[in-house]
Amino acid sequence: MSTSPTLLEAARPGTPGRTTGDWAVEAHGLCKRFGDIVAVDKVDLFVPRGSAFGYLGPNGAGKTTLIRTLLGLTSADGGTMSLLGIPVPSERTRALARVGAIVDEPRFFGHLSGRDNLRMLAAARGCQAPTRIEPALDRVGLAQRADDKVRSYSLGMRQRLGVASCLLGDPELLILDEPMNGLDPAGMHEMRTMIDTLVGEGRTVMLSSHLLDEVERTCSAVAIVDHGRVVRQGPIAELVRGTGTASVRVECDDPSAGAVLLEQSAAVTGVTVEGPWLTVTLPTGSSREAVAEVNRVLAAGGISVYRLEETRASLEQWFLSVTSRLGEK
Amino acid sequence: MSQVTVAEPTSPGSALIGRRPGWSDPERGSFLPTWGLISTKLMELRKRRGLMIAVVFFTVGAPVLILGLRLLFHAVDPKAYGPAGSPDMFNTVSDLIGEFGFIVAATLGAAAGTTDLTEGMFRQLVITGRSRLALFFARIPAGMAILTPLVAVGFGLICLVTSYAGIAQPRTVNLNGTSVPVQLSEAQLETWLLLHPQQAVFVVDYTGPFPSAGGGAVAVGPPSVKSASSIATVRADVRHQIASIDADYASSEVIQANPAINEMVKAGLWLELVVAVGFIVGLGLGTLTGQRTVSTIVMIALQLIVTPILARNVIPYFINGQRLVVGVALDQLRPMSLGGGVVALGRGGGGSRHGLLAGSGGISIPPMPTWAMVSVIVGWFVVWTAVGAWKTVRRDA
Repeated sequence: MSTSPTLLEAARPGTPGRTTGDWAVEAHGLCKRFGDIVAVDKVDLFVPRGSAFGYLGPNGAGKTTLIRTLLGLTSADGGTMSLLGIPVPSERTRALARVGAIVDEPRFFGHLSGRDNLRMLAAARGCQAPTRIEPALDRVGLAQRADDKVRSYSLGMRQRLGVASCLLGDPELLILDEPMNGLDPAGMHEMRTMIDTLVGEGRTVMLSSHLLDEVERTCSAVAIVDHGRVVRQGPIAELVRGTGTASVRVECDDPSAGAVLLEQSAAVTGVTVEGPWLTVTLPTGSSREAVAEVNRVLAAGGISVYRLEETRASLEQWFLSVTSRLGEK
Repeated sequence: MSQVTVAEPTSPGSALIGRRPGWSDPERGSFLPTWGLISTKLMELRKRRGLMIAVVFFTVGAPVLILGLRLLFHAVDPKAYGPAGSPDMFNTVSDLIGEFGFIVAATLGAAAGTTDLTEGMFRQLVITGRSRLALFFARIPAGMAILTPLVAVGFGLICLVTSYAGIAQPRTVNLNGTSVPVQLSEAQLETWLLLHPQQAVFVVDYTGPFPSAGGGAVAVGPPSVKSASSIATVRADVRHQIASIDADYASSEVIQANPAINEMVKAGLWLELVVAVGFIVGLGLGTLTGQRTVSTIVMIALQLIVTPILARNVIPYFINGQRLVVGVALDQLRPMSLGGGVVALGRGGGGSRHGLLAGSGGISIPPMPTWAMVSVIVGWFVVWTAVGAWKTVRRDA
């Protein structure tokens, strides 16, 4: 499966208007192997600053390994990377001062309270981190339970404590690995709101997930990873529109006649009739002008059009189309 | 990868750049742990209730229990139970702290070296960007801040009981039936024996002629030293045998007399050294294996099985290997007031007569020089600290 050269090119630093400092996360040819298994395979990744970026892939695709490599939790076997424009691992300490991260399920000392766990992490961060413990607890809604032992926390509370630990460094970049795992719908909504707020404050949130719907709701841009390789990346809207199959649903007074007319048009690749509706398939990469052409053809044939709506592939459909998982199914 | 600073006013992310103080905090990259790191690690260890109960029990609780019961029994039945502060009790209870203090120190070290990892906090701590070496080194003062005062309190109680509820300090020591003044140095002992040949003859292995008991039988026991020749023989024997006589004298002194204050201080320092070694080795091993239980079991086996076997059995062609075991080196450094330097070698076995470096304790292998003992102990400190630090730096988080 090939990558999308257009989108990748648009994201590269060499592109006019883009420089290295624009990227919150930048990786070139990043590799990580575990014996014969290639977990991260020559990954080029560009996460724009000040946005919510989804790192999307099926289980076992290498999402967590890439995050661990970026954070210096494990060493890379090849490639270069930088966080907030600061090269890592050579200046890892300086880079991570501005980064908060949750990798896998957030785990803490169960025999300590949430506040004490944050004290430990704040002491490790140094500077003003200890003064941010209370605001962070307030922000994630754990202030009331902060003195309870973490072993009594639910998974959702531990996720929130994980986010609080990220906030101790007042980070510019947050890397959240599967932050929705284990959360109930209300918790997921809270997390989504929190991410929106963080992005609204100018922070960058890189969100790793296999939950397509959540990524679609939360993120503006996405990278799809499969078998350790980034197969697509860019703004979600552009990706879906650019690579999915576009179609138009038309409600009209005579669908059968409309179908005959449209099948003769070069702007259409297929037509199906479903009751009063026509589903018109357009060529891949069609512009909005193709939709107008459908309307013109029907009107010219004397068919009354009551409603015309563009349908696009969902992120899920697109995800399945660009990863190998559809074939496996 | 080159860094290009971008100040793009329309980029919300860029708006954050440079507004926070302390981003380039030089401490974060330093291998030296900060006070905050040490104090929070101390808090983490201190709040492990089960572990703390064990540590407190074996360093303070057990001495309190034993001495308390002995005080009680002695008050009830003084003829059957000697005073709680007898030299024998001092030795026994101090040994208890030494043996079990080593084990609980090793257990605490193994916990300090593994819990970050097993409970998933190591990853979180690494993500903060703090130097991994600083994370490791913070564990050492944190652990020692728990052990050192507890051992001091436990041993201090023993010293108090010995000082205030012990036997009256004798003026003489019974040496083979001869009363010899206490607290003599080797030279003072030699002088005293030379001046008192009538008593010295009971102490030395007499090499002169024995008077006949009649009928060709040889008299049993030492001769009566009256002639000038027999006195000269006794004095010559004293000069030749002074080292072994001094060892016997020291043994008798330890058993019969309360330790002097300076001996107590030496014993206390030795106990602190023992728990420090136990903690560092446990920490290094725990960090290396990442498994607390395995590390603790290995340390218990080292202290209770391997070290005693190697200390009490000479393995030909492997004596130098035996000497590399830290327990053997520590035993040879054992102060006299805890029975060191008197059993096998005599007090002059490498250090000053009443010094801490006084020679071998109850071990059978030939002694090593003081510098070698110190080298072995320092070596164990350095190697296990280095192993732990290396593994902390190299470990995948």
